[in-house]
Amino acid sequence: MKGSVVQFAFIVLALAVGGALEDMLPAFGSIGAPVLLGAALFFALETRTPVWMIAAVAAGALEEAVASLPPATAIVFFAAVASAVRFFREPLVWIVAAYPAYQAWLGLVADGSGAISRVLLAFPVGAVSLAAVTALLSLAWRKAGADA
Amino acid sequence: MKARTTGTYALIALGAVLAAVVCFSRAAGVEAVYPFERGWRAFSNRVLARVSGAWRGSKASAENVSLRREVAALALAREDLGRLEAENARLRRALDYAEASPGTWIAAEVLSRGGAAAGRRTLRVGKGSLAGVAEGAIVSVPEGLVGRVASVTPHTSDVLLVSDSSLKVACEVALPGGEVLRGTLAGGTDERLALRHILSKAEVPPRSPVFTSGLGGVFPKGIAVGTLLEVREDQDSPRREGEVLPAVDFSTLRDVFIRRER
Repeated sequence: MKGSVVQFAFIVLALAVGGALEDMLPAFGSIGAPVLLGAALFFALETRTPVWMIAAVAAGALEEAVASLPPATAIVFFAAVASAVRFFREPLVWIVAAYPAYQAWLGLVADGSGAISRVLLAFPVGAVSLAAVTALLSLAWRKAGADA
Repeated sequence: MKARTTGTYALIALGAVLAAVVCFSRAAGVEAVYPFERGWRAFSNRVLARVSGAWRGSKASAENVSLRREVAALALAREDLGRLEAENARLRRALDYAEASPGTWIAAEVLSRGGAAAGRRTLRVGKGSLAGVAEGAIVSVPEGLVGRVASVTPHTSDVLLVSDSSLKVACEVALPGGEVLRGTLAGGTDERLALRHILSKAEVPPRSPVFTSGLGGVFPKGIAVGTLLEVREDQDSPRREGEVLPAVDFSTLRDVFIRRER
């Protein structure tokens, strides 16, 4: 029970802080650091079955709120990627591929202008940011005792 | 064991409810993030600004003296404006003109620029409905027009910038000889805005200032928008298109002013 409370509090706090960070961090060219996507990927790897899906949906909803995206755009993508991460468990592949895939998805459903350059830019920006976010969350997760 | 399972399910249910609230209310998501953004801004203004102020030393005190003088000059100008406003209202009444709608300006700090996947060109500012900000309010700075409030939460507002293509602004350029060139500002980038639907064939002097025309009924007349750099002919249309250098540098904005109707 205590472990679940800690996990729950950790997820809520991590998503709120992640949303604020994502909103405030400077953009690299036309794209920013995908902090919430990184959180969704991390929780998909670390938490139990209903929890990771709730975290992915909440992260997607928060992303839509902070980035003024059309409804369900990020929720659908985050839930799909979290499911894929959960079932195929290849963290390194997802760290490299998730953000370009997200930018391609946004280009399809939200804003097509400059989509190709955003996808290309998303490879280095996504790889560095997602690696940093998952490493930081992993450290904090263990320090907070949420892995117990 | 049973109590532990029940507690876990209760937490999962609570998480699902929270996720649903965030899903169905965009405002809830923005408000959840707001305390952290506000906290960082407060830290940055109070601590980091003081640290950098200590580095700048005498330059800051010289700047302080010059700002005090500017404040005194602005106070005098404000008195003059009050007199002119009263005279203007009296003349409008005498000529049976419609009363200009009075309003006040609310200063708001820029919190962010729309996140990693921003679909539109927006700014998030730290004043919302609790401060009297309403959707559609005009947002400006002394240099010129910034945009319009697109959505409001209790503590924040999202401002759609004039560089977003979905925001159309009726503009005009005063030409020599009393002629006026009119067009519609239709977005662009932070560095260049597009002035479309220009019907006038008149020659435009280089670097003419562009102001809002007040014709759309949304923005009042006379707010600076930018400088007209060039006007191009469109071979497929009788209308011309211009390129405008924005009056405002959107990337360095720290504070904006939101118009609140009285």
